[in-house]
Amino acid sequence: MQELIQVFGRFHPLVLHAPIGMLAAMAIIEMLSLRRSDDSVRRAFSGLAWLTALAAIVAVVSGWLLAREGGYDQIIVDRHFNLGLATAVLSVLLAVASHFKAHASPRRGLLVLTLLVLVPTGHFGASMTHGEDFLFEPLARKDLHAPKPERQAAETPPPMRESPAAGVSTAKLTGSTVGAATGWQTDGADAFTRDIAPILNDLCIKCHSATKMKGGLALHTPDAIWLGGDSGTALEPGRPQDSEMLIRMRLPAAHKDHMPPKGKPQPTEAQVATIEAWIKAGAPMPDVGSTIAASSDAGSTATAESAPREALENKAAGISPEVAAKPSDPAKPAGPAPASAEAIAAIRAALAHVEPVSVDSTLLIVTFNAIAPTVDDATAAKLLAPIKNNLADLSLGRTKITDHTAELLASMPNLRRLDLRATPITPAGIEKLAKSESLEELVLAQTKLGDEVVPIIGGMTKLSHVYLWSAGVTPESITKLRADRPELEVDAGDRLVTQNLGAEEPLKFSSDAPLPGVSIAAPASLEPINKVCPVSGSPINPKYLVLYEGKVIGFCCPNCPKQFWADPEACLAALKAK
Amino acid sequence: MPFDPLEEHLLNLTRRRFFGKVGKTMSSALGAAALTSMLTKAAGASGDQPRLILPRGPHFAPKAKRVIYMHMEGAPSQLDLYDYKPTLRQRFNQDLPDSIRQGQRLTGMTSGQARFPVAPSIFRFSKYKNNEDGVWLSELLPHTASVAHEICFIHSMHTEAINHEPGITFFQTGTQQPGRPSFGSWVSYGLGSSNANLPDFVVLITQGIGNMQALSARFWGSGFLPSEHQGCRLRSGGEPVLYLKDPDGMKREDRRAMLDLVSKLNQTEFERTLDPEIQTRVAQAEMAYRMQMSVPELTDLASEDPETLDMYGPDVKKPGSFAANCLLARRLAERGVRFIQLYMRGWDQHGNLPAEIKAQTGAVDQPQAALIKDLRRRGLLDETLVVWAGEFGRTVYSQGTLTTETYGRDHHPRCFTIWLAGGGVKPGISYGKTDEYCYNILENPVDVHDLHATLLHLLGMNHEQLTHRHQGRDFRLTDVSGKLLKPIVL
Repeated sequence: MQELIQVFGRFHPLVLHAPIGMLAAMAIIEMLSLRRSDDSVRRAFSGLAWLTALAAIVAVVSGWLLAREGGYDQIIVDRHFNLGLATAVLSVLLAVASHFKAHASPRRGLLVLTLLVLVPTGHFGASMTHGEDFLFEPLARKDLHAPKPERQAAETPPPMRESPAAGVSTAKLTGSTVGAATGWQTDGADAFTRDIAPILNDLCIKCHSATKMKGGLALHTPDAIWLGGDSGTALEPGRPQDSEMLIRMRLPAAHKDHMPPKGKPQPTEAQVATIEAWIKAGAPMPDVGSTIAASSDAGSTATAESAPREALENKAAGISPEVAAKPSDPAKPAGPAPASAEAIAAIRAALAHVEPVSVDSTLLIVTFNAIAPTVDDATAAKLLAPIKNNLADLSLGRTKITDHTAELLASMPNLRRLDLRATPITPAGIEKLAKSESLEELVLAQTKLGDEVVPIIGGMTKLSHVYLWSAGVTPESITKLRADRPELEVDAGDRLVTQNLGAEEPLKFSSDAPLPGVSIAAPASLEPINKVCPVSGSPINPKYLVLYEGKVIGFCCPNCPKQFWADPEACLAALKAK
Repeated sequence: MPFDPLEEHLLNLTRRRFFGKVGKTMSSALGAAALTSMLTKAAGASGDQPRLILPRGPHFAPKAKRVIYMHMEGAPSQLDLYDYKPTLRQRFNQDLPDSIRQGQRLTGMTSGQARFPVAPSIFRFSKYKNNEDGVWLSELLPHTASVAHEICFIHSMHTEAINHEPGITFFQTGTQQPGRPSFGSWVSYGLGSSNANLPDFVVLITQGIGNMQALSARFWGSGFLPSEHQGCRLRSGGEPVLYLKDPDGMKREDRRAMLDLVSKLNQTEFERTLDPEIQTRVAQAEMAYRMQMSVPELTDLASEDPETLDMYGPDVKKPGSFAANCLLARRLAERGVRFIQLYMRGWDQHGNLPAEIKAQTGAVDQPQAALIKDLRRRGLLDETLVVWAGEFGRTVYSQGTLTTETYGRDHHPRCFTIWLAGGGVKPGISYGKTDEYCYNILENPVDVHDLHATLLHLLGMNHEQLTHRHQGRDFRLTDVSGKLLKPIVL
C-alpha cells in the first residue's frame, strides 16, 4: 500500500501539466466568447473548468505525497504547495462560477487570478526539478568560463609529501564527529564502491552522467570522473582544496556555483567529509589503482598506454615525475598507515587521551593522564598494540606498567618521546627498551632504576635527552654518563641553579646626573636666546622656557616645546633663519 | 575534515527548521523516524558512555601541550624587579624630562601632580648568567634568579589600557571590552581536553598582600564560545569545588542513577531545541561526577615528598597561598590540564611601594622558581609553557612623596616586563629594550596580540585560523592583528 501511494505521488510531474494546459485552453475560449457568446462555448468552458478543478486536486494530492519523500528544499516545497493549493481552490471556484450565465465578470476575474497564481506555482515547482538558476543560467554562464587562477596553480607539480595517506587519519581524528561516523578507510580496494559511489549515485549522477552531462561533466564512471568537465578537472588527487568538485560542494548553498544546486537533495556534512578524505587520500578508484601504496613502484612497469593513468596515480601519491622515475628510497619510509578508528575509539572510551601530532599527520600523541593510576600492562597492551606504528609521543607517567610493556614499547617504530615517570619499571625493562631505534627523549624521573640503568642508557645511541631525577642514580654515575655521552642531555635535577655573576655596587642616590641632551655647565643666565617662538613664530612668553645644550630657549605656549623636542636641531636651525 | 563550528551550527539550524516544519505540516511518524537517524549523528553520545569533548587538535606540531599562566594582578613594577636602570640612581628626584614623557596620557591619580620626580629603585640588582651576556635581576627575586637560565624576559611589552579592569580584560581576552572568550577558553576550544576527568581550564587565585583590585569571574569566562570552555575555579579553603561532594547519605550509585535520568531528560530537550548549551550541561554534569573522584586525588598532597614541599617554601601547606597554588599547578600540569591560570592579587602599589613589593615578591619568588625547577626535573617544562605577566607596568616617577626610603608608582602601559619559560620558548634570553628612564620602548615592541599569537603558535595553532563565528563574523583571540615573535621561539 505504502509503495502504491508513493507511485501515485510520483505521478505528480505528469498530472500537474493537465490543469496548466486546460487553464490555457479556457483562457482562449474566454477570449473567443468576448466576440461571440453562445451556449455551446459556455458549456465547453464549464466542462473544461470542472476537469481542470479535478486535475488540480489530483496534482495537489500527488504533490503532497511526493513532498513527503523529502529531498527538496523545505522553503520552496512550502511555497509551491501553498500556491498549488490556491490554484486548486481557485479552479473549483472557477468551475462553479462558469455555471452563472448572467455574470461573466466573476468568472473572468477568477480566470485571470488563477492564471496569475499558476505562474509562480510553476516557477517554484520547476526550481525544484531543474534547480533555482535554471532559467537564467545561460546568462550567468559567462562568468563561469572566465579563466581561473587555481587552474594555473594546478599545472605546477604537487609538493613532496612524506605521507600520501596522511589526511585520512585527520578526518578520523580531528573531525571525529563526522570522520569517525563515516569510518572512511583507504585500506579496502572496494572503499570507493562502498563509500564514494553511493554518494555520487544519490546526489550527482542525475545531472552528471552519459545521458545528462551538465557542465560537460559526467561522474558515472571513474574514467569520466578523471576527465572532468567544461571548467577543467573535477578533482586534484591529494589536494581537496584545489578540487573543483569539493570547492563547489563547500560553497555557500546560496552561491550560484554551489553543487548540488539549491533545491536538489544536499549531501550531509559526513558525506562531504568522506569525499574530502577520499580526494585527500588521492581519490583511489577500483580500475585506476585501488591502493595508493601500489603507485610508488608503478614506474618500472609502465606502458605507453597506461602512462596518463600512472601519472594520475603518482600525482595522487604526491610523487613528482622525476621522483617516480627513480627507484623509491628505502631509507626514507613514508608515514605509517592511519590508525584504525576502532582502536582510537577504544582509547577514548577508556578515558585516555589521543590526538594527532598535527592536522596532516598519521602519527599520534597518547597520554594516560586521566586514568594513570589504574593502567597496568594488560590495559596498555590492549590499547596500544593496535596503534603501535602510529605512536610518536607516549606518556605512561604514574601508571602501573612494568617491564612487560617495555617490549611493546621497543617495537614501536615511530616512538620519539616516551614518558615513564613514576612507574615501577626496572633496568631489565630499560634493557628491552634499548632496542628501540626511534627513541629520542626518555623520561625516567621518580623511578627506582638505580645506577644499573646508566650503562644501558649510555648504549642508546639515538637518545638525545634523558630525565633521571630521583631515579636512584648517584651523582657519580650521572657525571660519568655526561662524560661518556657529551651530546646526550642528562637532566637529573642537579643543574637547576643559575650562576650569580655578582651584584651591583652598593646603592648611592644623587640627583647630579645631567638631563638627557643638556650640557653639564649651568647656563650663564636664564635670559632666553630668542625673542620669537621657534615653532610658531609668535613672541615668546617668559613662563615657557626650555634648557637645551646650555641654551635657554623661549616659547609662546606650553604646546610648542613638545614639537621642539621632536626635532630640536631643525627648530634651532629655523630659529637661526628667522 | 577539522571540526567546523560554523557548519555544525548551520547544520543544527537547518535541522531545527526541518523538524519545526515537520511538526506542523507533515505526519509526525515521518518526523520521528528521521529524528532518530539524524540525532545519532548529531549527539554522538551513547547512553552510559561519558561524553568526551572531542579534541579539535593543533594546526601543526605543537611545542607546548599546556600553559601555566601566572597573572600578577595589579601590575608589578618592572623597575624594581626586572628592568635594570642603574643611571637613574644619579637622577634621584630630578623631574622626568618632557622629552621622555612626550605629553603622554597619565591616569587621573597622578595627572594633577605638580611634578614627576624620578624614583630609582631602592633595590639592588645582580647579574645572572643566561644564554646571552647575562641578565640583571633585583634582590627581591633571588629564587627566580636561580632559574634565570630557563627564562625568556620580554622587556618591551606594552598595552593599550591604563586601568586594571580593561587591562586584565585585554590580556585575558584580546580586547579591552568585556564579553570575549578568555585565552584559556580559546585554548580549550582549540585543543580540547587531554584529561577527561578534569576541566580543560582551571583557575587558582591567591589573595595578595598589598592594594587589591577587583577580580571578576568573567576574566575566565568563555564569552560566546560554548560554556564548557570556561575556566573552572578551584577554591582555596574548604572544598576546592563547591557542591561537588555528595550530601551525607547519598551513595555514588544513587548519584549515577540521578544523572542518567537527568541526562535522558536533557537529551529529549536537546532533540526538541538542538540548543548546544544543553549538550554542554550534560557534559558538565558528567564532568562533575568524575571530578568527585579526580579532584580529591588532585588536591591530596600526601604523595608529595618533603624535599619537594620544602622547595615551594613555607607557605606550601597553606591553602590558597601562591606556593600551594604553584604546587597545585604542577600537579594539574602533570595530569594534562590544558590551561592553568594562576592569579596573584595585590601588586597595585601606588604608595609605599618598597614595603609592599617586598611582601608580594616574598610570597611569589620561591614558589614560582620551584615550579620551574619541579617541571624541569620531571620532564614537563619542555612541553609546558609558563607565562608570568601583569596587566601593565608602573611609572618611573613617584606617585606621592618620594624619599630614599619609599615611593609609589602609578600605572604605566607604555613598557613593562613579562617573562616566559619552557614550552618551546628560547631559554635564558632577553627580548626588547626600554629607554634610560624605562618610559618608552627603544626596540622590538611587543603588543598583547603579538604575545597571544606567539603563545598560540607554541601550542600548535595558527592564531588566524583559530576562529569562532558569532553575530555574523569570525572572531579571533588576536582580533585583526598579532604577529609571531620568531626570535623568542625555539
